[in-house]
Amino acid sequence: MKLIHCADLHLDSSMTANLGSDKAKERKNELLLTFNRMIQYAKDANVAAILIAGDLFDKKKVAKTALAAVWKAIYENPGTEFFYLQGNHGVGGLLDGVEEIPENLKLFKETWSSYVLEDKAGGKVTVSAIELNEKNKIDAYESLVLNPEDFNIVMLHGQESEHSDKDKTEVVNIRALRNKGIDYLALGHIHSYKEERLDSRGIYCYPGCLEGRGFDECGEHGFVLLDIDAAGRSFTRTFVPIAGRKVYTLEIDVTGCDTVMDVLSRIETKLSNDRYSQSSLMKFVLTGEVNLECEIDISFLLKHFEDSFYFLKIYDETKPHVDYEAYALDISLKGEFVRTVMNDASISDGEKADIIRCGIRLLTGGEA
Amino acid sequence: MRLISCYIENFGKLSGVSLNFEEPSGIKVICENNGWGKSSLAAFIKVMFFGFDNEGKRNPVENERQRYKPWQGGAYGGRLTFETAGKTYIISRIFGTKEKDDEFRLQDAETGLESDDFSANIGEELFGIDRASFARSIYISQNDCTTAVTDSINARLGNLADNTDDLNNYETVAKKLADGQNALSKTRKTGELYRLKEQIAQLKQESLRGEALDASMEKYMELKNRLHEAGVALKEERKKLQVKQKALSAYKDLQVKKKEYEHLCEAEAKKKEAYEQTAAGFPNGVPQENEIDQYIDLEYRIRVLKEKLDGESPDDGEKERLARAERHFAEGIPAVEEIEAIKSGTDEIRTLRWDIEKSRLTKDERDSLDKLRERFNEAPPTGEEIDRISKSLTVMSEKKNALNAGKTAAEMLGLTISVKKKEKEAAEAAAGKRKRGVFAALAGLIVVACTGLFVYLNAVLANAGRSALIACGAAVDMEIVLAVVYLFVKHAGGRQAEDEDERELSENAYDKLVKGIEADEELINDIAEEAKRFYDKYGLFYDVDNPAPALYSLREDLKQYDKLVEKARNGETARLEKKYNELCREVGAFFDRYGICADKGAEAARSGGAGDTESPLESEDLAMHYISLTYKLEEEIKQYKDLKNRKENNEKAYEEYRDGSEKLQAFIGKVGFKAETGNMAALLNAMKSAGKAYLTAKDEYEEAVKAKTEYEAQNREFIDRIKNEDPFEDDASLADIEERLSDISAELEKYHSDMAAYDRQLYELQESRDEVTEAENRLKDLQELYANKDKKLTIMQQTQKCLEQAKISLTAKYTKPVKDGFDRYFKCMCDIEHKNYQLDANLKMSVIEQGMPRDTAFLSAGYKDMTGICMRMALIDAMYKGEKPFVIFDDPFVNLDEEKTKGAMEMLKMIAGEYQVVYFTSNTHNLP
Repeated sequence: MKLIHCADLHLDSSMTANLGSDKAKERKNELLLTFNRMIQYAKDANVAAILIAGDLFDKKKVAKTALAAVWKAIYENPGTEFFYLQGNHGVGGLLDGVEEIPENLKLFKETWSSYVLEDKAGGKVTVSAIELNEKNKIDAYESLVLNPEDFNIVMLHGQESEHSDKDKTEVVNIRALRNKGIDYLALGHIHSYKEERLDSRGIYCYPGCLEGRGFDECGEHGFVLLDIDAAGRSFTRTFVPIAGRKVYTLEIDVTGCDTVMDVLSRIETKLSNDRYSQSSLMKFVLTGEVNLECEIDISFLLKHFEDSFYFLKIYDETKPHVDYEAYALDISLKGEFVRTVMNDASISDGEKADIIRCGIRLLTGGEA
Repeated sequence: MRLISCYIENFGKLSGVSLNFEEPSGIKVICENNGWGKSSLAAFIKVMFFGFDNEGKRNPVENERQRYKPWQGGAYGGRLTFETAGKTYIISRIFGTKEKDDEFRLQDAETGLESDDFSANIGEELFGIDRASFARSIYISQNDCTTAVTDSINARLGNLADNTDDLNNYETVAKKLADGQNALSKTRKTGELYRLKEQIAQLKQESLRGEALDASMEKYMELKNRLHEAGVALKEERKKLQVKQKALSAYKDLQVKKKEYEHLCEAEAKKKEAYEQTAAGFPNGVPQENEIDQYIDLEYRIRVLKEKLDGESPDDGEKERLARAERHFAEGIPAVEEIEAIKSGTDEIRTLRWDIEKSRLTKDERDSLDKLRERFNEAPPTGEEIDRISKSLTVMSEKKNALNAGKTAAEMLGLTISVKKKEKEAAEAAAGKRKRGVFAALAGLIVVACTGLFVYLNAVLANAGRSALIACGAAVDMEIVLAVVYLFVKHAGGRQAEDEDERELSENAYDKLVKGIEADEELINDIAEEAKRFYDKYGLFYDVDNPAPALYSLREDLKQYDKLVEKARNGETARLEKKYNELCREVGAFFDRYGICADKGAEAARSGGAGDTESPLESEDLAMHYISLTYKLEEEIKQYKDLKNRKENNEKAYEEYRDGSEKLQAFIGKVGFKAETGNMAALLNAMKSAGKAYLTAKDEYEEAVKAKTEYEAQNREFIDRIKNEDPFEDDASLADIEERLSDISAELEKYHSDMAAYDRQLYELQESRDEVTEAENRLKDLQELYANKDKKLTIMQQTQKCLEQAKISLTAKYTKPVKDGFDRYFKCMCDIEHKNYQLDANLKMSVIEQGMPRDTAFLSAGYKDMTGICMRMALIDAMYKGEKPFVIFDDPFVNLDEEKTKGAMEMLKMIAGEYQVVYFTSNTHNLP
């Protein structure tokens, strides 16, 4: 039996953190398209159920387009069970104004609910979940009782922790879930893929979000495909990348560069070493020490690479390389300036480098 | 370094000027009058090293290229020979209208070869200072003796002239830093940080709405959830009610179906009973309707035959007539052709009878012929004779009519002639006394004569063509007329006819007229005699006044005579009579053959009764009699045929009647249908009705069975339930449920409306929340940007501070040597040691006056120039430790008093040991 475990889709997200309004709208629509691709994948792979471990939507009030996309997926795939845990973002979105909940949409309450899926060999897969809230966040774990004969999947939404947190609702107490007979703990909340062993029997896994939305969600994104032998209580899992665009933060060491062209070459070298799709969202972080007189013109670099990627931002976190000894005996304004800065105890070390770089750059005809 | 010589091709007003700068004393004095071109020469030297200044200025006084453009035209430029570091060079420059058009050439003076030891920027390369610094140090011009330490001078002072990106850029850097800080300023409205701060404040304000919006959304979500729960409860209730309604409705439907089924069963039973009842009337089976119809038709036929047999049997008279006819026509009835032949014969008899009648003279005709024969005496007149007499009578009548007028004219003419004669005689006697009265009388006579003559002539001429005789008479008459007319004209003209010729003419005319009248009277008498004789001959009465009508009567009689004579001569009658008699015999024999005896007419015909004595009317009766007999025969034949047919038909009808009756009885017996009626027709109709009723009942029964069967098939699921129906155990009525459902619908409608309202609110709140989120994102970006810019501002401020400190620290190192130099030159020029001049780290000189440092600009012009010259020389000393440059003094001492001028001369002598001095002056009294 094949199941898909996904979470944190955040459909209808505004996507305005980095992008302008046009691209933000485009990305918002791309989130829905990625969701549709996952549904198509499920159809093609003959997937029996899709586990949505929370945060299907990003807002309290969801736009109709996003709702329509989800309902279309549910209605057009009656043979696929949708196990939907609402999570902290998806409250009240999907079910707004719905008269009758279709049979293939399984919802969960503030107490444990379980649904059983039976495979052709007669093996049973039990999917159990609970909507964690202020009231049940401490006691929920004790009331979980599973049949050890079944293949048990438990679905929760929250930050993994070794203990419960009285102040936070969105915490999953991993310790409390050990030795409960869980084969696969399907979690949601963390936006990057993560898999850890739960106990001797099971594992827990965050599939991450389907599509990276910002530079805090870099890397591959997708869902987990579970292929379960219920009777034998064994399974394989595969991470299936499905994001339409990838988000990367590249740290590029430009140490020793004397000019912006040297920096450009370093970036190009970095990009040529690892191929990045033109559809990617990129962030370059320039690091290392550069020549004191090296002026890194970020606008020039952005212009140079603007057509290479869907979106690009560049951060200059380089430090100037100051050969203090070389200026120690230098009878010149520069030498006098460096010595003045270095001897000024009121200036922090970090600022000293920036001040020296600024002064030297200006004296050598550059811009501040 | 020293200048050796120069050649000025053209430069300002100088043209073709050669000059040698080398002097043993080391001071090249160029003492010329005002306007010679001393300043131009000094400028030439500067330009040869540094090029032109103020190229961008429009003012030609400020723009050196414009200012020194050759007055007289020609090549703009010249050559300058100098020596440095032991090598001699020749600079050649030719200036164009723009800098790019300038030509620069550097030659090694010893080899004459071009040298690349220096570029066109030779001034800066050679002196280590820029043009401005050259003008502030080595080149001391008139009225601009003061100096200021430039970056370039500072660099030269710090021995940093070769380090181009250092102290010499300080001012540029300071300006950039100041501009940069202004651009980033937090306090200036145009400052970037100021603007960012404003935007951040706005976005923070916007972001504050986020919590309120979240709270509102939470509140609406809660309200909505509550409403949703209420809605769910309502829907649940509605669902239950709908289930109940459905069950109750199904129960009601079942009841309806039960009634329908029972109705069908009942109908089937009724129809079955009706069917069986109708079938009982036919113990031996129900005949087909068409079979019954056949026997109804048969019964009707029998009834008709019976009535026919009863009503159409021949009576005694008819029997007797038939017997007689059978006798008459024992040999068969005559053929139609025979009867038609007899009819034709009868018609021919009739025609022959009339032809015979027509061929005979009647008695009247015979009498008439006899009379005519007697009258004409076998010689009747011919038509030509009658025509000739008729024409003569016409001529006679016309002559008679004309004769009276002629006679009157003759009388008038005779009277005229008589008057003429008397007039002549009187004229001769009275010579014309009554001339006028005679003329009038004569004229009246002439008029009467003419009138009569014209009437006569008219009558004559009217018959002119009738005879030659009349024609001749007419000719004579014309002569008379002419004579009369002549006379009249003569008198009408008023002239008197007095001559003899005139009288003769009148008399001749009169004679001729009289003779004509006499001839006509004779002709009339001849015609009358002849006509009377003719009339008499044929017994006609001759009417003298109107004889013509008798001739018409004669013509008619003559025609009658000819006709009767012709008829009397004809012999056709006998032939016709013969044929007539033969035909009468044939026809009579025909009628005899069929027992129809011809009466008296027939006898007459057969005895040849068409004799002369028999009247045509009788003969006509015979023909009509035969025609009558023919019709009678035909009538008898017809009657015979009718009677014979009737007899035969009756016999046939009887047979048919007998057979039909037997068949009918057999059918009724076979069917076994019984009805209380003796009337066979009624019985059959009752049978038919019963048969129809049977078929209808059968159809209806079958239909009822079919309806029930189909209903059972269609409602198979209900049948068992109908049969085993359980009572519905709920006392709620359908109306109650419907009422409650209606209430729920209304409540749900309100629920949906409220939900929609909440949704709208939530969507609006979400939109606002999205805006706030966007503002938060923007705020985050701006805060990050602000922090970066703020850091940048801090860095710039720190940089500026540190750079200032560094510069002061650096320049402080050569302040003392410069101050010492200044003091030395000041003492040389003033011969005193000053105490109140001080130099700061920026090499700015000030004077302590009244205990306060004051700018040298406040000094007198002489002191100001002197201070500037001393400062310049002190700077030059400090700047050039090794090879000394030449120093140009372009008459800088004009503001000094005599004593200080002497001091200046002393100073020139003093420096001439170290420096090549080029001194321009127009003052011949103060020379070194």
